[in-house]
Amino acid sequence: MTTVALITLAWTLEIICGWPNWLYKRIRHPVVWFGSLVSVAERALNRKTWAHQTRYIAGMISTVSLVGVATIMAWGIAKLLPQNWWGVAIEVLIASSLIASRSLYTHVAAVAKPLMSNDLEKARNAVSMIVGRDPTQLDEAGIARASLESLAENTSDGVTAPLFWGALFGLPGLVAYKAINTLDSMTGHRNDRYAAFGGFAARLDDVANFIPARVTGALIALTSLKPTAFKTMFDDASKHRSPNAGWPEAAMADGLSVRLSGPRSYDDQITTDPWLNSDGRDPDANDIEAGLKLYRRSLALTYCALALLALSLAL
Amino acid sequence: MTSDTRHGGALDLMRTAYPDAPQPWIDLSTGLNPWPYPDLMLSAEALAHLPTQQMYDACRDAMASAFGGKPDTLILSPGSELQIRLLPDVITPRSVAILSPTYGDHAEAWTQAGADVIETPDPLSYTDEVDAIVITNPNNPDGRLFDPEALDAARIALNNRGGWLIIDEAYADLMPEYSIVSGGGADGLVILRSFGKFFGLAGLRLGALIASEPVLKAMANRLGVWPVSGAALQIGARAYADIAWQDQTRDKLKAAMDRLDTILKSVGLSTVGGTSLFRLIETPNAHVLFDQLARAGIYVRRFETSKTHLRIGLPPNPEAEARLAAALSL
Repeated sequence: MTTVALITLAWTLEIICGWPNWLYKRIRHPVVWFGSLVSVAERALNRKTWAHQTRYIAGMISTVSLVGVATIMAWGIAKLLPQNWWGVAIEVLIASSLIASRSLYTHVAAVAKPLMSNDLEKARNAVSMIVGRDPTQLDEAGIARASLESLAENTSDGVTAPLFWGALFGLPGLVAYKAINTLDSMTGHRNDRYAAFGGFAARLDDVANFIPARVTGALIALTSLKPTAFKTMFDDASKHRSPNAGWPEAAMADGLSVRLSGPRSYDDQITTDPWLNSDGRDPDANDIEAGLKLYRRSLALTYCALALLALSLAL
Repeated sequence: MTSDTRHGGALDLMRTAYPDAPQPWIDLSTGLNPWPYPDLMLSAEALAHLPTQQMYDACRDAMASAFGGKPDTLILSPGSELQIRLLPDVITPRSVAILSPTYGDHAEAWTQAGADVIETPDPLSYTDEVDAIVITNPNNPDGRLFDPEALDAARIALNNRGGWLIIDEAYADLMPEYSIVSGGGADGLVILRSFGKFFGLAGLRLGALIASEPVLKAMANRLGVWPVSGAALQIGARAYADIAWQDQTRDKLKAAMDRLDTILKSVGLSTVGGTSLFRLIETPNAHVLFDQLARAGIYVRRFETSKTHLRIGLPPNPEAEARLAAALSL
């Protein structure tokens, strides 16, 4: 079976089942297992007393080894599994756990619902599950903005990128990407503790998401059916502080006619960040719903393209 | 304080430097209203208790109403100087264009914060390049005015890039028509107001910050629970509600400014700028004139950055006007 077919089947399973709560309660999740390894390595090797450069190298060694171990294990599993239906089923099952389209939808929808009924407290709680900023500072527009930015960025990080690397290199590619992305989200922060240690993981994640972010932006722009979305994406994407997140976010912003990114509160400071689609209005709860619709449409297009590719390769 | 050249107001240093000058000294170095708001009665409660939310709200509401702004876009502070110092910790532009010349502490605060500072007579021309622009309007010491519409256009352009327009309206009580407080609370706009200059009560330490909600919250967290004393709240609430006194004072200051200009003109000095609280004069050797006035017991403002300018505040009475005229015509 081709890697594209494997990924298509895995995603199909993920769309239908996701990662069920009962399973999470029993065995947690492969990303959580990997996260525990990252924590252990970070506590052992990220020493405050070390110089910036030493900490950067320690982080680089940790990153390369952890990604290497995970990838080799995935490669071994893929090799050792028998070439019959239940061997494929197990590989599909493992791969499906590393795609996050359903959980992203659930998490963002969980913000939209209380926000629709003006329950700011609940909406803030829900949004704190998906973004790093202080939710107590956020009003309705702030909550909607944070959710939509997270939705756009994670469409690339959590869906397109795993599909992309999985379709190219099968289970090992998918696992390697997921390992890099997990390392980045745990250590790629620009604060005193992580700036040096997580520096390499952050750069590696930028590289891994370079193509998926641009593809995701194009998919969102295309399915938004707004002719201006591509122009806004090309004009505004580079203004974003991340080299990748600006692409899907700018496309989403224009697609919904809202403005995203912009100055925000972190640690009681207001950052100087440019707006994406600055002429747009501030988003509200309805825009999250519209964003989720746009998300479904762009994933439907991705799915059709992937399935067609799998079929054409099989024929 | 070791030098008088930064802020003026160092009368103690002048007494030491010019022990033979005629008494009493006339201090024209600060540009404060020489006829302070008169009703300084305080209730015992204002000092015997911690300031209450009610007192805070009363002062803030009176202030907002006098400025033509909305109370929820404004927080009180102990003078605008502290806000100038704290602002670089609240918002984080990497590059800042600051009007020059102006109150020197803006450039100092942003430089200390590590921002790239450009001091320029035309900061609005940097709208598309920098992350923040600082303008004092009306400006000190030259009284330069910026058109509110031009400022709003700059604010919009800056905000699109996540940047900031910072307006120091320390002297805006003199010319309310140039204030942009009515648009306060907009994204990317920070306005600083000061009580002490127009009301002549600089020692009370009262000011306000007008900005969008996240900036107000972050600044309020830094200022703590009782940023302003009960005395300042009580006097501030009364003074800002006294619109009649403010209108009379604007007229009175303008009349005094005209008299000062006449004195300056009569001795051949040209006024090159200023507001109705102070006049900026240009003269080939300003430090010689400074010395000449100091020997006559008159203290004016000189500058580190210019050897050809002096700033002269309003003489508080006819005797002071006469002494100034006499000292200048020596």
